[in-house]
Amino acid sequence: MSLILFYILAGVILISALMVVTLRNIFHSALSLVFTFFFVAGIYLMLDAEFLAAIQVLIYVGAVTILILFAIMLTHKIQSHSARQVNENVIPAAIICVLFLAMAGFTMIKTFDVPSAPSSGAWTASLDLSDLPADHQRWNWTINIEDRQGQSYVAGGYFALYSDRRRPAKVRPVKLKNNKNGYILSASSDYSTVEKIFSADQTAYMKVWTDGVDINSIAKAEWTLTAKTDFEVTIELSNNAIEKIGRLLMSDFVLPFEVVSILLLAALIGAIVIARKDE
Amino acid sequence: MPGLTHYLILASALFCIGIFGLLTRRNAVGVLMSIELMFNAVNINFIAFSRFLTPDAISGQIFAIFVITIAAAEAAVGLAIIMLLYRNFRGIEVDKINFMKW
Repeated sequence: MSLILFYILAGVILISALMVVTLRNIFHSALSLVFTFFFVAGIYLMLDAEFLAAIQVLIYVGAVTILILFAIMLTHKIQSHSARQVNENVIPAAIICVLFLAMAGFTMIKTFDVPSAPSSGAWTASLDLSDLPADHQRWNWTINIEDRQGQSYVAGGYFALYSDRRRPAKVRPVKLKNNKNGYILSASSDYSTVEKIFSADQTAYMKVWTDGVDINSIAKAEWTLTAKTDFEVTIELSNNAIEKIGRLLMSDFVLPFEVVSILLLAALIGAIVIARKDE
Repeated sequence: MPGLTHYLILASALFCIGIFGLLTRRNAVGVLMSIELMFNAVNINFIAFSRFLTPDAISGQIFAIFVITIAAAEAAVGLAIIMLLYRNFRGIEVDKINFMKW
């Protein structure tokens, strides 16, 4: 089902991209560029990147194409309808591009033709470590997922805490570099394992894959965490990457974020200075 | 389910179309549009790798955000340059603008 959707999106993208580079009227090229951008946003949605799809529509479809249309209007000449739009390099360029595409496609098929993680049903679970009881080393978890048709699925895995000697241990904090207490937590699901050192007040995020469930059709998901004793905790589920993007932009990527803001300012001023009429 | 290879081949096809436009367009605005196509291909690659290889980290999406930002800045400056070219040369055919060639 989603394969058909992918082929439709990819077909529209490639056809309209070809129209961008081959149409004689540059104005029509710009309009098919809008189509390309819009359907690339659809590809982002298929890749679970909703925030980027929204950004793509806002910035590319909304802003960049408007800029391009303005530039076309301001530089268009009447006789350029009949002017040749391509130079004499068409045939060598086409040969080079087809060769490059064949090489790249061959390499990709050879390299990445491995079963990768299943492409649907990703949920992120967050777990407050201080909620874990202190007398066990390993907690099994199961997740019950119900889709809109009322079918239910089960996935499972375990959380394990390790001591600093890499053996399963009872909850015993390790000393981190900044003299805080921390835990080495290994969280595994059916398809992925996350292993990270957490400090006591941190929340552990992990992505959970469930086979055969389309992520858009999930209606309900409930977590249970069980140890040997009767112990049950509900884990908060969140499926939005937007919160993580915001956190990353303000923590790990704060320097590139600030640099890019200065770059944008410089580009803004530069564009005004370049395009201004001389007095 | 489309796998990683599907997305990579789509991205490389889009990138090749962008290269083709870059090499063959005479209109400078057309060259800029081809560059935007190539940026989109790169973004698809980033997000696909982020989605399939490291589903727990979303650094690929962050990179794509930076690429989109820089593409917007590039479009603004590029179009300003095109305006200036049009004012000084009465045309924006890139094969006519050759006064810095020897």
